[in-house]
Amino acid sequence: MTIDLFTQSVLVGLTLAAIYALMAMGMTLMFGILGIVNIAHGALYMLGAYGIYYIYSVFGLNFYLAMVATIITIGLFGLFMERAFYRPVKGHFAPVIAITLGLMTILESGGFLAFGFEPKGVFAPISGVSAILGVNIANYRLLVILITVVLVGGLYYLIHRTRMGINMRAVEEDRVAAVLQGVNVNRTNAFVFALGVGLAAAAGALTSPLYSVIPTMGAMPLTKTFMVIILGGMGSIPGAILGAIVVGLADSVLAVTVGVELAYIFVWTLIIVVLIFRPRGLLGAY
Amino acid sequence: MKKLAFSLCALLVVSILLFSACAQEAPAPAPTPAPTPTPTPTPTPTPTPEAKVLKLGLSTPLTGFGATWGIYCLRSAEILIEQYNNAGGINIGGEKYQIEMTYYDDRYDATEGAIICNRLLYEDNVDVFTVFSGGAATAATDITNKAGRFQFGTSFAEGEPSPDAPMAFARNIRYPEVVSAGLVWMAENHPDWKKVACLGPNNPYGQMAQKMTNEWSSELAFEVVATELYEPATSDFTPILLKIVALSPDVIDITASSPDATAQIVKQVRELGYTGPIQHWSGPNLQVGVEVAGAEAMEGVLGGTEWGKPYTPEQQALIDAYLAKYGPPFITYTLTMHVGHQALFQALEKAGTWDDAVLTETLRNGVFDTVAGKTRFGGAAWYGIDNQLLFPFQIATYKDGEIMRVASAETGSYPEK
Repeated sequence: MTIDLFTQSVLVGLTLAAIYALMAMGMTLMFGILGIVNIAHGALYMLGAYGIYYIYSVFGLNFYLAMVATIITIGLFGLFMERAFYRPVKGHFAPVIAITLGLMTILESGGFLAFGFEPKGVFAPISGVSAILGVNIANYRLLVILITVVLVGGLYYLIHRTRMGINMRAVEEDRVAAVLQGVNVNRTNAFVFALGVGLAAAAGALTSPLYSVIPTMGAMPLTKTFMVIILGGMGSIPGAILGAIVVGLADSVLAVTVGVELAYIFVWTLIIVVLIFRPRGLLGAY
Repeated sequence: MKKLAFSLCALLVVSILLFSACAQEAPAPAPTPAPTPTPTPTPTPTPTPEAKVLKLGLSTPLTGFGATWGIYCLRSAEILIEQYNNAGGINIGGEKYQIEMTYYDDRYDATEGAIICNRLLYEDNVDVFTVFSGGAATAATDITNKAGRFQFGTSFAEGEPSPDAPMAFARNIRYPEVVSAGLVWMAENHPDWKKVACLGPNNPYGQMAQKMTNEWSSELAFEVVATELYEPATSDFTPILLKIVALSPDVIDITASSPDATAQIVKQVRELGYTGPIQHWSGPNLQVGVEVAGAEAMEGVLGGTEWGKPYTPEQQALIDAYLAKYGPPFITYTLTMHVGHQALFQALEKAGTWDDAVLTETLRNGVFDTVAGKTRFGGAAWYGIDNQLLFPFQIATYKDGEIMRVASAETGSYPEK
């Protein structure tokens, strides 16, 4: 493997890491604060991709505004989901799993009915390539990394510098104490759920110019998300980011050097070894 | 009580949204979806009480991996059935029969395929059983073979069609035919393409395509510089493509990739700066690629079993019928599926019966006029039985905004075993 190929595969791996990180942060927030493992996360990623397809490709709105509109719209759908489906069964593991599985199936099957069977394409808002460290990388992939960094920064600011962020941390740490301190737990939970859904939608919207848009497009990202949060640690945002970087780089660099099959074997072996010695993951709290 | 009322309201809202989505005109034309696991059969227009009926069963993927092929299998059948029924019916043994088709979504999956085959044969009591392909077809072959029933459609897996299942016919030219015809054409027309990089799905079809390419390499004097397999659910091919592009191949061969994967591979390899030729011999659906990857990226991509302009009058008639029924865009894979359907229906008329044994012999020994030209069944030199559909292999490319016919090559030659 040449140094140029290695550099290029690292840059591609960082793009993958960005997408995995957005998905994983959303899911890990839901788990850490709400105790929910959202199996429908992949379907919400898919809705984000279709959202930007219609708002940007079909109706012609500016890409960045379309992305904001998509995140808000799907996030509002997340508010509805939390109130209608999750809150009634909050705290009950089996019903939550059944509901998330059911929603995943409904959204995917409904996607075929609503959006059709043929794959859709979204064209990137910027084209061309840039030379980074002597190798070419598509400008849009650099944009994906940049937007993800902005979103991660925004999430950090939200969690550490805002009232809602304080409430979120309080609920995660001690729900009863949070209630006694006057935190509206239901409102906080709804916000966290919508935020998680919005992050999944953001990931779907961002990746739509890279891949084709079909109702089942969320399956592989969902698998990767689980790998990332298990490796990084359930309920840990820094863990989600670290896990995303490890899995993203493995998917790219190892796939190029030793092949796709060995890359899969490596990542799963790593996950198993980490869990044996550190059951809560690299940076997990649970 | 309040919680229950709210949940019921929420369920009602979701139901209304879902059903209104069903009622709306979809942005892209979609077939009538087949029912999933416990479905109700969906027959075509009910004939008059006096009309005789030929019941045709179809198992085809309408969701999942094979959907971008299976949908067009269904549409081809629907168009041909409509034509026969509008003309009074199919002539079998001197009598006219209205054709009624019952179809189900097998998701390209063996378990679903077995369930659907049993349902079509034993609950719906179809007279003629057809299946698109894939694991569903392999599972069905096991069932129909034991039952002594005719089956139209086999998987693309190695070992099919087989003398062990003498009534199972391959309804499409398969990897040995298309890869052979495509590579022979490549060697004759592009002798400078010496380094071929292969990328395909990690399933029996991808593996077979690459195996055939390797088998032809010494005979046709080219070198296979890469044989990469990806998991079918892959959407980001960039890491593998980085490796391939670094080898500076003369052509990248992505035979066996689904139309959706084809579009993504083309999109992503062009992003990496690769401007060279890309070839796919087994039905890439170039139009799908244009929708997803864009016209510029698809320029020059070579597709086998891909139909281009100028169309023959027969091909144009099918295109017109398709557009009238489903709207644009027309997906040329429908033409590929139509060849098999036309051969089957002509065989039924020639046989004068749908008796499994008689139909089998008629199909095996006949020559049929289809949208591809003269069509027959052969392949004994490779499969051990003449149950493989053979028709002139169409090669096309996307050029200047159109899918243009490049060449037509006879199928039926195979590498030395």
